[in-house]
Amino acid sequence: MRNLILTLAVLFPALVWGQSGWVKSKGEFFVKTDAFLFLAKNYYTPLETQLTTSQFQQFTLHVYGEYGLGHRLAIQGYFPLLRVNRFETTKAVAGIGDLRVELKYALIEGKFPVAISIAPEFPTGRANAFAENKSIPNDGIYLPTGDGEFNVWTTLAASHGFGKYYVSAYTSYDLRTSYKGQAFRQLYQVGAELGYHPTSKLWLQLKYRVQGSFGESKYPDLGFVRGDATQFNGLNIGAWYEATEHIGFSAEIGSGIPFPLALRNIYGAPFYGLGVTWKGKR
Amino acid sequence: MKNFLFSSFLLLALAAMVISCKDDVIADPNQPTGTFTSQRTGTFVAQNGTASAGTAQIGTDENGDQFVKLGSDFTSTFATGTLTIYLSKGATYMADPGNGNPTLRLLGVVRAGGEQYFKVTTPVTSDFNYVILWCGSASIPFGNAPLN
Repeated sequence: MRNLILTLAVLFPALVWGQSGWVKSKGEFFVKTDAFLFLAKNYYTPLETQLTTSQFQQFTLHVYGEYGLGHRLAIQGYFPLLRVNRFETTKAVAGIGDLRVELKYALIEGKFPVAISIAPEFPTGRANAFAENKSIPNDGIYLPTGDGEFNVWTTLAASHGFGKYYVSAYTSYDLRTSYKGQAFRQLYQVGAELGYHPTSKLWLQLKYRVQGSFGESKYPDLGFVRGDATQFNGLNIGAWYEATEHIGFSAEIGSGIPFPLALRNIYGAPFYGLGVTWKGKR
Repeated sequence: MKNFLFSSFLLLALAAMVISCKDDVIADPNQPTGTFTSQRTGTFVAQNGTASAGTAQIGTDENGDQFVKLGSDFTSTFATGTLTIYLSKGATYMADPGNGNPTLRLLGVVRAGGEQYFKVTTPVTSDFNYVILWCGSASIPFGNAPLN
């Protein structure tokens, strides 16, 4: 059972929010700040072997925002304000993560909205953060807070609301570039989200997503440290409570399931998030 | 005048330091003195998908000090960071810090492939028959070489 239900986290977490076909109208905004913590010992190698390592610990503080520009356009941004990485055997390293800026366009509006977005991700994180071993001088491991490369996500998403429910589905392609001349493998994601609105102030969300990669690695060195070809199937359950017209609170737990793809280059660990949201219209 | 005297004094002090440093040649304790004579040798077997390969030898220098030599063909995966290298009484890293790690001898930290020496500060007997590459941060073996 331990291997059937896994909670997942990776050195460079992929999107922690879902994608939808809705695009914010002009002046509408939504901001979410959340904190995630996980502690992990089970690592799945790029060759899909499960290893037990020293405990890996990661704390991340993200900010995510959406703003409607009008003319079917919205801008979205995601920025890890702080990422702290360590093994139990090392000192901690901290830094900002990689900045992602996303431009989203509504292809179809109405009851079945469809949107496309382009999201360049800039290597603003510390690509060579080195965590020193606590007991052996001069020994240590790279635990970067960013992957060190420029990449671009392209996403196509569709949604539909009915009664107290909504459903969204999306597919994304990540055009990765290279790090020091070594080319990463391209990634894809396919995901779906089901939302339920039991009361006027509460939303419950179930998110499922699969991330895979294309081809075989030519540069195994890009594996653990650079997050090459990380592959997983993730299931998240979240709740969002709108305390006032503008302010809300969110809670999330992430989980993984071992199909359809084998887990690769990823840590399995309890993964919990808490957030504060702010929304409104200018 | 005061500035001139101060500058002259500084220059003299610097010159004295340079001359004194030139004369103090400090021997690298991790390098064998004279010829290294191999007694046992082995080839690394990679573990956990790493690129560990190449030869390891244990032997003595002309002073009788014991050294482990990694050959010029030695390589491993260094993209994750540094590795620690041990002499061990088995292929598996078995830490027992409460009893002084009787089956392990830490030799040092490895940062890159290629030829390098590690002095065995506390000489070992022939039952230390493996050289182990160990990622001390993640606690994962990267490879081992049986010494025969």
